[in-house]
Amino acid sequence: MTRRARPPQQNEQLVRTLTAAGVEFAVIGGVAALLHGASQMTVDLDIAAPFNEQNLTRLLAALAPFSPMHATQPRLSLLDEPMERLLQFRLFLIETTLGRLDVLREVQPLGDFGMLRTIEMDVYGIAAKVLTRDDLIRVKRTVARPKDIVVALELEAAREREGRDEDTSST
Amino acid sequence: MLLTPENLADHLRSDGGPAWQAAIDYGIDVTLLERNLALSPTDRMRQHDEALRLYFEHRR
Repeated sequence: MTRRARPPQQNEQLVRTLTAAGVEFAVIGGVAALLHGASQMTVDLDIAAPFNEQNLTRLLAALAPFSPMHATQPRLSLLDEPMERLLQFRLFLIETTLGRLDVLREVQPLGDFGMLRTIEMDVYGIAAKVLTRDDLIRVKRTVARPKDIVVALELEAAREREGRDEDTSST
Repeated sequence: MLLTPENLADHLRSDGGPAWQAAIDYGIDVTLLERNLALSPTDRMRQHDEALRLYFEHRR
């Protein structure tokens, strides 16, 4: 079977597209780490989202122009799946013409979307919800692959440094 | 003090607390982290977007 060549990752367009469609989501994973100052490159966009019919309908409508396919089944479009089935998924691993988008129902060890602590960040001029640094450190420490440990250490160092700077600026 | 490759790690260590030192001990280049922290979130993403652009261009 021939896989289609992976298109360049376009995080800005993905964030713009989801936001414009009114999809409720929070940026998590490597891109959230980058937004908090980490330096590790990541080649996909991970988000957490409520898996309810309204939100998934908006998600599919937003992605429809960008050929959303299951990353694990490259011939199968998400658009061909019945909503009843999509609502059962724990996560979507999606290849689009804007790049890879992973959508998670739950983030371990934090829980589902409602359990996440987020902050609003100006990202590309868009007010985007991003997982807090402390929650992201918890996630990275829990997953604990070597690359996650690196990110956790970076974020912990950043937290310490910014805490020191805040102390300095307040005196 | 003139920074050299030999004294750079000591210099960086002296400038941070335990988490900063733990990152250095793990081999993390904290100069990159320091530079990122001086940027806005959007600038951090723009910098990463450029790295991604080069990555995908190289893969072609």
